[in-house]
Amino acid sequence: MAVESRTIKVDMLARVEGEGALYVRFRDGALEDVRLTIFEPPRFFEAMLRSRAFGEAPDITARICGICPVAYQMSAVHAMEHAAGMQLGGSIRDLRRLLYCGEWIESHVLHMYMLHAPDFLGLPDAVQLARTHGDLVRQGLRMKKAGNTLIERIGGRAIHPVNVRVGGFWRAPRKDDLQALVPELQWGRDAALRTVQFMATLPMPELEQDYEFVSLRHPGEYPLNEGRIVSSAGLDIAVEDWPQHFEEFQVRHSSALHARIKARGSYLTGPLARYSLNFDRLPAEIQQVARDAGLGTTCRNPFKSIVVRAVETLYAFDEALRIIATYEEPSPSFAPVEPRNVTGHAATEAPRGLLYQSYTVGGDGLIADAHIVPPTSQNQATIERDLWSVAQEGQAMADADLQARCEMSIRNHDPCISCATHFLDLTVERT
Amino acid sequence: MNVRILGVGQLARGDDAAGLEAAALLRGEPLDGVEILDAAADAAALLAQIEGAAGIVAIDCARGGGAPGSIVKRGADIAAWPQLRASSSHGNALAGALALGDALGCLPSQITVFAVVGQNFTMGGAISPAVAAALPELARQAMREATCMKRG
Amino acid sequence: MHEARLMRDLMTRITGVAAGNGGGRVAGVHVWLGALSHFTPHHFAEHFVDESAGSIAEGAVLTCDMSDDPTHADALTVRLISIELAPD
Repeated sequence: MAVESRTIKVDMLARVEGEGALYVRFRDGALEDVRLTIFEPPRFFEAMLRSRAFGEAPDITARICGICPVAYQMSAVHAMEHAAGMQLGGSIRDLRRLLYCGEWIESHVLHMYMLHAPDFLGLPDAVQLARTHGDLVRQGLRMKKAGNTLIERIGGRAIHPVNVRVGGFWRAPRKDDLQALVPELQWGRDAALRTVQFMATLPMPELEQDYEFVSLRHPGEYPLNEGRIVSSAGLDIAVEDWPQHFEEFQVRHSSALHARIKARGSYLTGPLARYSLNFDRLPAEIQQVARDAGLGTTCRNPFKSIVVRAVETLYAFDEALRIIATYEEPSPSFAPVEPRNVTGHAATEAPRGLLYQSYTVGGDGLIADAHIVPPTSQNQATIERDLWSVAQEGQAMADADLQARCEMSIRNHDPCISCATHFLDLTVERT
Repeated sequence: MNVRILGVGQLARGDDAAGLEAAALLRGEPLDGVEILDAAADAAALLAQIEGAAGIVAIDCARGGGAPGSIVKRGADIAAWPQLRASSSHGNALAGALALGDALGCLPSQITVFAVVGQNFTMGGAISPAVAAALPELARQAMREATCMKRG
Repeated sequence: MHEARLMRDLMTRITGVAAGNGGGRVAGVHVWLGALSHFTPHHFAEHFVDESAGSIAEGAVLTCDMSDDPTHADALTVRLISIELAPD
């Protein structure tokens, strides 16, 4: 007798732990597929921002990332001010740059010392590094603290800065309070120089990649908050033209978005791009430090990004000291901002690359539409290209060794993934 | 030297905000010699907050390890305690900080971790009712522990 | 791949439920897709076909309810509502 089919009611949730996964497939000894997926929290925050007051954007976007809240805030406030047709100068501009220096320091140091350096020394993590190179790790922790302290003095809190607002700051730090940081920042600058020298001694895998670099470029300074978007293939556009030249696209098997240059394809943002496109904007003394560390005026080896990060950390300490030396408290600490019914765009240089945001604000001051393109999604296609190279070369490796090499290659570009899931979920299929 | 109470977690991730919310409850009733801080998001900055304190009481949210809303108490060995890993999207900063501090020999001698067991870690989600109901008790236990540490 | 892993977890649950209910072939699957699950019904079907190939759920008819509420507590995930079991 035929048995009828029956329906079983369940109601269960499918869940995944961790937020990053890498899938590598070999068939008949040839590399066939490499896919990297990272969960993208900004997509959620874009939805959350709609219908909120324009002034809330810096606080809401700061929650996207615990390591680089300032970057999200800086792109948000500049986009809002762009929409309002204003550009701020003077001490407010300086303070924002100083705040960003704090974030570069703490994020770069975290990346170099806690995530990346152990890879080059064949150690599983920073805890082992602390056992074998205790003084080095202590130096890193102290440098990082100097960056966090800078953020705390200007941003009000180190963790989730609350002092940033559209138009400036709720309260400007006092000159004396910033002056008090000078001795520790001077120590930090010396420590950053030692960091460059140390990172330059690490054994570097040889790999030269044909990246199209994309970063901001400013007429007079190494870029943080301002500039045009330029590329190594000749792109040179105003930030508001981002949507005409870049696009986000869906990749098969994923609704996460990757970004590409419409005319050409994948590109790279971040320290290698900034450095290679703005070497001439570094002070001569720092250029010399970079040369002494074996870097040229451009750098296309992704593993050497650890040395470039060290150079940028040195620059951030140097720049912080320069700004504090001439700082005068802005009064008032912010400019009033009148929302207009237009779309504002901004891009700033987050530690791990270009962070673009745009907002359409209604005449009622409410956000009608928000668009956030973090460095991670811009770099993702390029990171996959690097992984192709690494997987191809590492075909004969055991899965565990291949995983270690792949993780290291990812960490070259994006600490967001590696700190979300230090243990990347790697699947290698061999058929 | 002060005893520090550290609220660990992230806003806008459901129950992961529990440690921050419990720490916020304590700010209303300050006590001499006890500092109340929101913990940093990464192990290095968190270790800077831990180092140099007379004692540390961390309040966190755990995934698993009991019924939602129940409170578990542990010492510094939380690093070796994978089933109670917090769900922060930046990895387990607290366990990382304790492991790193242990390797460098810079941890205070008194460390206690209270964790409320959470159930909802959805991006943007609210704190679930069972966890919200446990927050005052979590705060009370943390303060009682800090007071004991302060007396030495 | 967030999706691929959700799908893998889901498939484990489907085969587990089927086994716990006397086995057989899974003829139908009814799911609810969270607004932030990164799935569209089309895309879910693509993943399902890949993941179910060769399993007891191969060829199952899919019913997908797509949620558009990003603030839903389960918005990031997929709910397995029911499965339909048919004899082998």
